[in-house]
Amino acid sequence: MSHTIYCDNLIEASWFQALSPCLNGAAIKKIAQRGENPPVINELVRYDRPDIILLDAERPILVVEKTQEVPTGHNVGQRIARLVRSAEMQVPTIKFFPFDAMKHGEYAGVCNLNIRILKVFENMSRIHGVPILAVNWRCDKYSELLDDGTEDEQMREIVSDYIRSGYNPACDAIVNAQKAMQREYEIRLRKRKSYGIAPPSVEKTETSALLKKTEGLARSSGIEALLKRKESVVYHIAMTPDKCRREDPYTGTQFIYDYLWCRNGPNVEDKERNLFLHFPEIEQSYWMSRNPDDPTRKSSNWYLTANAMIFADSVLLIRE
Amino acid sequence: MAILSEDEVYLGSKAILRRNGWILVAGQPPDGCDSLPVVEIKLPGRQGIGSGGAYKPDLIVSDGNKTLIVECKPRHSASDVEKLKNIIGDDKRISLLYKELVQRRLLARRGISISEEEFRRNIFCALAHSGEPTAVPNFYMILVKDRFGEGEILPPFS
Repeated sequence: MSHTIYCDNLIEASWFQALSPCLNGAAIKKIAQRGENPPVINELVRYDRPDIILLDAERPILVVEKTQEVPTGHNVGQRIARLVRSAEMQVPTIKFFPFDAMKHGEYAGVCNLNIRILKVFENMSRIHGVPILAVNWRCDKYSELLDDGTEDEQMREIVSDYIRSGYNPACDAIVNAQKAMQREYEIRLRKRKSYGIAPPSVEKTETSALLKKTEGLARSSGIEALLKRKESVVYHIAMTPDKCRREDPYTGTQFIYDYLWCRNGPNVEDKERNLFLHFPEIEQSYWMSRNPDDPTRKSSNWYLTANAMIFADSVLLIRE
Repeated sequence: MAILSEDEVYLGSKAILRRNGWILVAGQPPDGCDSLPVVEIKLPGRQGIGSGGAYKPDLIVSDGNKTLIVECKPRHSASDVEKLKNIIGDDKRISLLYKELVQRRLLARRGISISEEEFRRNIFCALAHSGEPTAVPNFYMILVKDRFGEGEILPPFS
């Protein structure tokens, strides 16, 4: 084994290396700008940069994301695009984050996980044939994140077991983590049933009905191809023109809804329902000037999976 | 002397401080996510997280008696000196810092019990950097030679 840890910064690389004695001899390198890394790293960071990419020789074997933030509400989409990319490349992936934690400041209180992310990871795992794990960064009884080393117990177990097994994605520690995710989802769904249905920003509708009620949609060139899917999911994004130059969390959230209600295969065209992004307050030409589909810019993430964008004045078909 | 990156100075500072008996209480690295709790030193009258003027120290450490607010940079930074002087000289901000550390039990979980008066009396600033040492009156200096903990702590002089 010849390990290299590619990292976004040394703090996380140092933490990751300490998770397993198997990584004691690993080289550490920083992820460079897009296009300036070894080919396999360039491919993995195409949508966004994960915190950690572990290679054995030139083969990517694990991607890890670490954050202190609880993915609540609409912020569930943050950091997702980079994990989607590693799933597409069939690299086992772990997101390490608190499922519950105290939020400090003026509106202090305990934040809880939007459990849709657990269901999304389960679906991504099934669709791409590779484990995508959510591992809980546990808190003490006051909902403060643990920081005495015990918070890393499960991560140490998974990383060590996975490496020692010769990178078996069905090693005991990973299987146990997947079962834990499922249990967590079921328990939390019982407490908050609204996570089992679409949020207010998402509309599931018949495609033919959507074409009828959306001005210009039926006349859009190529739109008839989308009628092959009887149903569509519309993600309504109430951005205003002055604040539309951004990606997070929307470009990640589109993947959340894609994997929950649309996707049935590993390619973005493999959908049982169309995915539309709806910008009721923005005109197309302004949007395109602020968020071009330019592969050298992060704004290209807007065009990664949706079938079409519905603007205030027009429709843009992206893919069938 | 080699100039390290900010990441390396942060990691090296933590290792040097631990080796010298300091307890890591809170911190936020220049980039990325550490395991330490992140603490803001707020401006009085502004309570929200990320509120204007709020300052997040790179490190807050304690030896059970003294507390250090540490700023990490590749080289000595005169602007950091001014920033830390302003913070340490603001009684209200130091009081808010103490209250937050107590409210979140960040001292208690490390076995540190200290009154607000003792806290105020024994709080100091520290500059952590690589390269040539640059001493500042009343400041601790952490001279970092590598990210693994090669380096030393120079106590303040008047």
